[in-house]
Order: sequence, then C-alpha cells, then structure tokens
Amino acid sequence: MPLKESIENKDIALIDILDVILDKGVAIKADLVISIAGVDLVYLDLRVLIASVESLVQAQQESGKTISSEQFDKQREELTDATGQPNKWEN
Amino acid sequence: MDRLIYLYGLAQTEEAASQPLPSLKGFDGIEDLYTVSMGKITAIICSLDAEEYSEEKIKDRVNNDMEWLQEKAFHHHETVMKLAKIYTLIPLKFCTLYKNQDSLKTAIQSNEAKMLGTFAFITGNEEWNVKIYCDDERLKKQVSENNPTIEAKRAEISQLSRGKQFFEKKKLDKIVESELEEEKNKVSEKIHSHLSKFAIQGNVKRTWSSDVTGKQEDMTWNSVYLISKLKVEKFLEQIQQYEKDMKETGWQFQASGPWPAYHFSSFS
Repeated sequence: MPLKESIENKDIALIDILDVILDKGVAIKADLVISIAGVDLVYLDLRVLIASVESLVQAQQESGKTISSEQFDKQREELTDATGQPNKWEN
Repeated sequence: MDRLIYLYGLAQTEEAASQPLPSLKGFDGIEDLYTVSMGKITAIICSLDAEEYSEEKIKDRVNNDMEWLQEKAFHHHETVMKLAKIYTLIPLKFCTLYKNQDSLKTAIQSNEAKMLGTFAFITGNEEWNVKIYCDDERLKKQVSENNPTIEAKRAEISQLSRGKQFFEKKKLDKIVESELEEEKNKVSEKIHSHLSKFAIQGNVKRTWSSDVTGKQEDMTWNSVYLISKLKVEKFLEQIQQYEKDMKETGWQFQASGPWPAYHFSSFS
C-alpha cells in the first residue's frame, strides 16, 4: 500500500483537527456576525482552547479512550442501529 | 425567523456545476448543505437559526461545553474533508457565519480576484502537516556527551572544590538545557528546509505543549506543506526515512493529510 493511503486512513486526533480548523482557514471578514471566525480566534485557541483540550486529554487518559473520527462514526452507527432509523449520514 | 449562513468552503462554479453536491447534513444536524453560485465562485453553505447560533451562544458553548465543541469540530472537519475530495476547495475556519446571503455575496465578490488566485495556487496540490516530537531525556544525554562546550565545562568543574562543584553543576545543567534546545531547533530546521524542497510552500506553525498533545515527548516542530500530488509519495518516503534513521536517538515524526488547503488559502 502506498504510504499516502496508510496515512490517509489513520485516525486523526482532535488536537490535529483543532490545530487546523481553528488556527488556520480563511475568514473573509465583510459583515461576519461571528467574530470567532475572525481575529478573536487567536485568543480563543491560546487561552480557552488549550485549557479545554487539556481537560479533554485528561478525561481521555482517565477513561483510557482515544477520540477518533472513526470511533465517532462507529458510535453514530451504533446509535443509528439502536434507534432503527435510516442512516442519514450515508451518502 | 432569522437565518444565518454557515460557510464551509468555496469551490469553482465550473467544478461545482459538473459535480453535484452530495446530501450532507448541516451544522445543526437537521438541514442539508446547499450551494450558492456567484459568478465563478460557488459557496457551500447551510442555514442556521439566528437565535440558537448567535455569537454569544456559540462563544459560550465553545468556552464551556467541550463535548459540543468536539462534536461540531468533527462535523466541520468531516464535512470540509468530504467536500475537498470532490472539489478544489478553499476551506473556511470553524464557525464562519454570515448574517445573510447578501453579506456573504458582498464578502465573496469583493475578494473574487484573490480567491481565483488561490484556486490556481492550490489546484493539483495537497496540504500535509508534519509534527516532530523529541524524547528530551534521550537527546539530552547525547548532547551532553558530544558537545565540546559542555565537555570543557565539565573538565573545569572536576578541578573545583566540592562546594563550588555543586553550584557549577547547576549552571552546567542550564547550559545543557539551552544546548538541547539549540540542537532540537537546528535539526528540525534542517529537516524543514529539506522537506520544503518537495513542496511548493512550507510554513512553520506554533508547537503545542505536552499538556495539549497528551504525548510524553515534546513537540519540537509543527509545520505545513503544500505539495504537488505527484510529489506526495516522495515527500512521505522522506519522512519515513527520517523516522528510521532518527528513531534510535529519540526523534518521532507524525505526518497527517491530505488536509483541505487551510494554510494556503489566505486572502490577506
């Protein structure tokens, strides 16, 4: 298997996602309502986010669980199965 | 009832017209995503209740409801990832919300030229993230054993009286620490400049403390690269090579991707 494929299919940690979607990404500012999308983010990820991620990492370590996108999907599937509803997440 | 617009990403209208948007649930988990085209650019959005997703309420949840943030961050990530697989996509930050479609249109139209430039820049390329971790203790040992400055200092200390040795050793520890930092930076910078050769652009990001990463090893380097799809495999092979060569000395490499081009879609 090419390296790319094996890396692509790896679980991504929440911190990696937040590192990207909060720290970077464009905000085209004209008439935005939410300043989270703008400048305030710098403060958000420095003060608040780190604190929240810390507590989350701690919670994870205590419960011995890791949070992954895959697990998230699995939980969602289980929920869907349990409720007997059609899976709305499938394309 | 007022509706806000949550913007996930921007695609080129030409691509959006030939590839229909799959059915995807929006930020509130109820309504579907849809597209709005403005000339050459198509925005991929969903609507949200203005009351429930007001700036204040979102801020409050981000600050106080970690589960909510986690769920929504995953939602944003997964949605944008899916879109980036279909279209050449300019991804937007988490919680980019507009008052209404008109304000979104104004924002897009006034930045159109730069956006088209960004599309040209990212087409055919992928964003990859590389984090380098280091086992400080292991590296410290090597640094303190193979560093001429430290060697000389140590020889000097051994000639001193016991009482003086104590304080001088403390000083030496500090020197070792700073030499360690220097060594880590030097090695990481060299790797970064080497990896940048595979890339169209490489940017250095801030590192995170081990409280945040939950890893024992210290994050020494965090960087992103925009790489031509044709060169990605070579780039990753190089990282694998580093991993093999440097594992014994306490270095770890973590590559992730391909990411939507978050770091290479700046308009400013």
